[in-house]
Order: sequence, then structure tokens, then C-alpha cells
Amino acid sequence: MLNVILSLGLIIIIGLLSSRIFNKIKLPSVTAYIVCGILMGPYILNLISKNVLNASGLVSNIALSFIAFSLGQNFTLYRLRRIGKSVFAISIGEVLGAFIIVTLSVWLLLGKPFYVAIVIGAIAPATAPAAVVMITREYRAKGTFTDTLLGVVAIDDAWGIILFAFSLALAKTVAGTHGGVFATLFPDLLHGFMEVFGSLFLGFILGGIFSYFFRFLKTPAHLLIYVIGFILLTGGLSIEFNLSVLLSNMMLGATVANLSKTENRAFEILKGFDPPIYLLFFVLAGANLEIANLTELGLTGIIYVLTRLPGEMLGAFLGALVSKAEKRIKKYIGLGLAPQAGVAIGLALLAKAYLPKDAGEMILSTIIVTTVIYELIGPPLVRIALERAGEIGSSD
Amino acid sequence: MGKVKDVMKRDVITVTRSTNLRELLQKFKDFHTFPLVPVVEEKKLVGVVKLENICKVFQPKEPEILKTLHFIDERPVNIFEVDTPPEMGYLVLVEDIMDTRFITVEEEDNLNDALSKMRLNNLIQVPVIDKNKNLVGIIGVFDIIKNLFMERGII
Repeated sequence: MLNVILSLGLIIIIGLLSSRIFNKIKLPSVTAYIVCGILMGPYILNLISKNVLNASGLVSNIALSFIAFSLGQNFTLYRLRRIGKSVFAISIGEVLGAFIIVTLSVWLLLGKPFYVAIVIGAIAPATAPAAVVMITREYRAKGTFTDTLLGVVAIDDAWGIILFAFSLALAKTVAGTHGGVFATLFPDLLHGFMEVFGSLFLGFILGGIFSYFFRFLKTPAHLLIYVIGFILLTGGLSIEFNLSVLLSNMMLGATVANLSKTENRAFEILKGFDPPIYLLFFVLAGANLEIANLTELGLTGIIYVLTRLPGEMLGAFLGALVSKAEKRIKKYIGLGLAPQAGVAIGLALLAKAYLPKDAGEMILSTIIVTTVIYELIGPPLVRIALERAGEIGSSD
Repeated sequence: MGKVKDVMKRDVITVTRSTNLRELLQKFKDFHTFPLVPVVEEKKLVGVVKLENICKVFQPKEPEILKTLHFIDERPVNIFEVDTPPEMGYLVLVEDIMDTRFITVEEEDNLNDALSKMRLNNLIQVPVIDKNKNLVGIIGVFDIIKNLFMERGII
């Protein structure tokens, strides 16, 4: 058995290496980290010390705190104001469409527990912005359809992540109870809402304190220490009060971003610090997977693949209808949202970190397999959407 | 301790929102490096253009969310492969690429504060504004160091 420090060194170096290899074949780094984790994990090469594996929960909470804080900066009034009307309506429509259809199908058709269904449903709207951007570039697509599509993929993950955070908070409280859903649904909902608002409140207060004392910082080193300290403080207090680490840190980030009149280096400076934490988080997630579950797609996976895209298309269609978008946008925009990649896996990992073991494991292994499917069929669908909308090869 | 207004450069090369990419690059093509360029509208400072803003031209519409999920879908752009047709010089305007949230110092600030603000934010130049947010100059780390050396008789 390797010692802890040696394990960490190997994880980080091998993780980097595998992400470079995966990027060459156009798969996201996250997939590389997870595969790397599976290979290095106890079932295959056994290169990870037990002590490191046992610390997975700790690493998840810390990594999630950083992820949530960074995400928070997207939710500023300044950025939200710059979103166009149809992009706004279509992205909201797409997120809700995929969420509702997938949740209902998994819950009612498959008879899975409600809390499992809403979490899977909340992962469904996630898209792969990088994949869509790449296709539009590759085929030199130009026009209003392309612009709208890029706008939607840029923002829909933000809505999706908020929705996911709420669903996960609710799922966590519901998961404890078994038997009749409706008997306990009301108190559970109430409890879920308390958790949501408590988390938002905590993040808001700490964000205010952060912004107030920010002026006393003098060097980049102070700033880095200050940011890390606040993120851990927020995460730690959330755990202490049984609140959502994800929501409170997201609110911390959003508050800091909104309260600062100028650009804020707090987010920028983390980029030089947090990548190894994320790498560790994803590799450990892979190492903790029961690989036996990974070989089959399962009924849930099939339902997910079959209902996600129609849900997105329906929702996007309704959004386009409401915002009076052009006919071709209404018809084809949903198709362009098919690719799914790293964001979905990231969300599934959160689910695994917080839900009971069986449910979390099932969700993660389902999403890993379905992501590969959508990663394969997604890009050609984007191309078809761009073609049908008449924005490929029309200009030159 | 001197004040920003004693050291800053008052003669600033500025652009407006409607300056196009071609005009912008022409202005600075003989400089050693692309400087911080203030964007003004009737004297008011409304934005800044930095080298990294010019680089945005190579990744039009890069999804904003990617900026914060850098660990998830990191695919660096190879600028040698990006198609940049000549008409871009006219079509891309300063307004499309400028930063509208940026760090400034006031002319009455003392030099020590200005320097630590630049250090904290990892900047070598910042625009200087007056009480009414009008652009009055530009100051850089080098201006402050130069001034110090002059005071001490080194230059």
C-alpha cells in the first residue's frame, strides 16, 4: 500500500497525463479524471492509499465549495442584464422542459423514488457548451440561429445548476423517508425550503462580511488566503447547520460578485490554486465507483436518453414561442442542445456525494454511460440543426 | 508622499465605443506592447481595452459559463486556426470587446495606495479619474518607480 503523499503525487501527475490524452481524442478532462480514478482505484491497479480513499468525503465537500463559489460569479445583475429576450426564454424553457419530462418519466414510468427522479431530472438540462461552440466553428455557421444557440448554451447551465442545487437540497431531506411519498411530502418540502433559504442567507451574510473587509487586503497572497478562508468557513458552517454547501457557497460567490463595483480578482486568483483540488475530486469519484455497475446502461439510462432530448426540444420550442422567435429557431434550437458532457458528470458527482450510497452510485453510473451516448450523438445533431436552419455554408 | 495627480501621465491615447478593431490596432501597432487603452465618452471613462480583450476576437461568443467552469471543459483556442476574415477589422468595435468593470484610481489618491491597488489586482497600469468619473490621466507602476528615483536623485 502506497503512502498518502505518494498516492496524491501519482493521482495528480497521472490525472494530468490522462486529461491530455483524452483531449487529443476530443473528450473532456472530467471524463479522463474519472477513468483515471477507476483504473487507479482499488478494483484495478490499487494505487490509491486507503487513507486517501477514506478522505473522499472531505475532498468532495472542499472541491464542491470551490466549484460553487466560482459558479456564483455568473449570477450578477450585470451579466443577467446582457442576456437577450429570446435566449432568456428559450434557456429557461429548455431547462424546465428537460427537468419536468425526465423527472416524471423516471418517477412515474419506472417507479423510482421521487428523490432519485428529481435529481436525475435536474441533471438532464445540462449541455456541453464547448462541444456546441466547436461545431459552430468547424462548420463556420453564421446567423441569428447560431447566435441564439450559443447564447442559450452559455446560460442554460447556470439555470440548470441552480435548479440542481434546489433539487438536491429537497432530495436529501426526502431521501431519509421511505414509504408513501405524499404523506411526508409537505413536511419534507418545508424542510427542503428551510435548507435552501438558510443556505442562501448564510452565503449572503458571509458575502457581505467578505466585501466589507476586502478593502484591507494589500497583496495577492492576502487575497488568496482570504478567499480560501471564506470558502471553507462558509462550507464548514453549512455542514455544521445541516445546510447546503453548494447553495451557500454559490450565494457567497454571487454576493461578492454583485457587491463589487469593479472586476473582482477574488475569482481570478483561485484559478491558480483550485485545479488540483478538482482533479483530486474527480479522480477519487472514479476510484470510489463500483465498476460492476458501469457495464450496463440499465432501464433508467434508456429512459433518460429517450426523454431528455424531447424534453429539451419541447421546452425550447415553448420558450421560443413565448419570445416570438423566428420559425426555424422554434423548430430546430432544441436539437442543437443535445450534447452533454462534463457539467452533467460534475452534477452527478455532487449527487453521489450527498445522497444515500445506492441512489448516488446508480445516478452517477447512469449519467456516465448516458453522457458517452450524448457525447457521440450530440455533435451530429447540432450539425443537423445548423443545416436545417440554413446557417452552414450559406455565406461562403 | 506624492499624489497620483503629481505623477500620472495626462496625455492619454483614448478610443471610443465605436472605434473599430482596425483603427484600434493601427494606433498601437508600433508600440512595444499593447497598453491599457481607456474608452471614453465625452470625457467620461466607460471602459478599458487590454491585450486580453483583443484576444477575445479569436473566440467570439465564448460561453460565459466556461470562464468559471475552467476545469470542466478546458479547450484552449489555437489562434492560428481561427478564421478571421478581413472585414472583421471594420465589424468588430471597441464596444464589443471592452471591459466595462475595471479598476481605477482617483487623482487625489496617494501613490502608496495606488501602488498597492495595482499590486493586489496584478496590474501595471490603471486609468486615473476625477470626482466626476472623468478620465484625467493614466498611471503605471513604472511612473511611480521613476518618480521615486527622481526624488532620490538617481535619475
